[in-house]
Amino acid sequence: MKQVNETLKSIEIPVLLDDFKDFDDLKMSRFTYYTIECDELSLGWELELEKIRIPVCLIGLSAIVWRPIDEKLHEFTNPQLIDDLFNAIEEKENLFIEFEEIWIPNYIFSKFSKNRGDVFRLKLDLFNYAFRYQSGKLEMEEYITGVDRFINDIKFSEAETDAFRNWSNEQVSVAKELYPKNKELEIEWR
Amino acid sequence: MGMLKAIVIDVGWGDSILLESRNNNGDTFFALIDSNDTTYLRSSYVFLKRYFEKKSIDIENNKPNFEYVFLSHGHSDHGKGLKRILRDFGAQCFFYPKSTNWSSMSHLIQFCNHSSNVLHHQSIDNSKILPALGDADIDVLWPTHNSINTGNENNNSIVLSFKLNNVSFCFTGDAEDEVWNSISNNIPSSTHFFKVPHHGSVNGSLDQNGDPSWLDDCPQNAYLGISSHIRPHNHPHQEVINLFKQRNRKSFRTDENYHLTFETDGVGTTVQYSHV
Repeated sequence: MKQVNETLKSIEIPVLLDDFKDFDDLKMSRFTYYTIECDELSLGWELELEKIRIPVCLIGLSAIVWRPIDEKLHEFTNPQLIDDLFNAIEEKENLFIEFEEIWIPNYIFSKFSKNRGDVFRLKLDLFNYAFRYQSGKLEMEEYITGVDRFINDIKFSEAETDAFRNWSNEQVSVAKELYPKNKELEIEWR
Repeated sequence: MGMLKAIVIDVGWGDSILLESRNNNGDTFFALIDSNDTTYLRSSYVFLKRYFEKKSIDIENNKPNFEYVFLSHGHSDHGKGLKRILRDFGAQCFFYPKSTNWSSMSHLIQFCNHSSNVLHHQSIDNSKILPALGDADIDVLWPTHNSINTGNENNNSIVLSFKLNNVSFCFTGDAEDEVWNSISNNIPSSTHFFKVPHHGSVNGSLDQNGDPSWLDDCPQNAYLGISSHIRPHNHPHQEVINLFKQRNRKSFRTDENYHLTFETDGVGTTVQYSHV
């Protein structure tokens, strides 16, 4: 039991700054995080709780990504690790990677950085609290005030910021190389 | 007789607009602008699924079901859930604006690079000539070619006009004052429906002096549709709603009127909506 708890404590969720908002009536910013999704029935899973382990068929799946597929690594420190994740997951026909969003008050993170695309790592307690607000279980005022106790549960991840930014640019580069993906559908210019 | 219909889908908070165009031969074509689905709140996906099912369209065997899918700009409240829609419904073309920082949205481009469910994808701007959707001509009003706003992604929003005969419908993403300074006089005089920018926020409809940024160039009789974003933004802002009321503008909002349907035969336009 202790080992499991220790594992949970060490989990940090990578989140990407999507839109920095700094208005009188809104000082929270939107972040995205990646999830592994499955919409169909999938077999071969086991549910492991404290005292039991039971095989199940999953109807749907939404799992938050927090590290690369290489279990020795905890951060996506280069674009290849992101590629590897996408390729490994999406080669399974019924699995794909999507993203979701959470909101984080500016005072929690903006002392580090606030550029769009910046990657931060949130400890699980902070992420869970943000998730509760996103799910509608907390009102905004309660959330903005209450999240203060997690102020030390966030760190800026410079290496992952560079990795995700470079990965993003690579996707655009690949798109340009492929262009036009379908010659017949190529758009005309004025 | 041709028809153009725009349904501003009530997706809770965010944007998602289904376009349906029927030509004089009776052929029907579909387009989609944006999505804000989450894993558990798939408002856009479910609406589309039911809509196509009601029309007896076999989604799987009719792929690609969309002629065009547009991502208006690279913010997650406009792109969440689009990948699932592209995957399951398919699209001939996926269009998006240029951006300096794709981050959240780059997985969509990554998907389109290798997916057979999307036949073609590219960035678009006002230098591009898009083929019509059915009999409805499409004009890209913004962004301009090779201009990328580095400070505010909202101002990279694709602004579109769809025109069937004498009637135009305009779609604006989250374009703000800076965009309207440049193009508000390009709003077609034939506009019967105008999607209010940026969920009815002050930034989308008022300039820095608090004056209307596009309203004076939008025909008085045009229907104004607001895709609300109450949480956490409180959009539409009351100042914008008050402005519309002062100017006797007919406006509708998804948080009060649910799905908003605007339909034209190229001559007149009707609106359908609900009440809370």
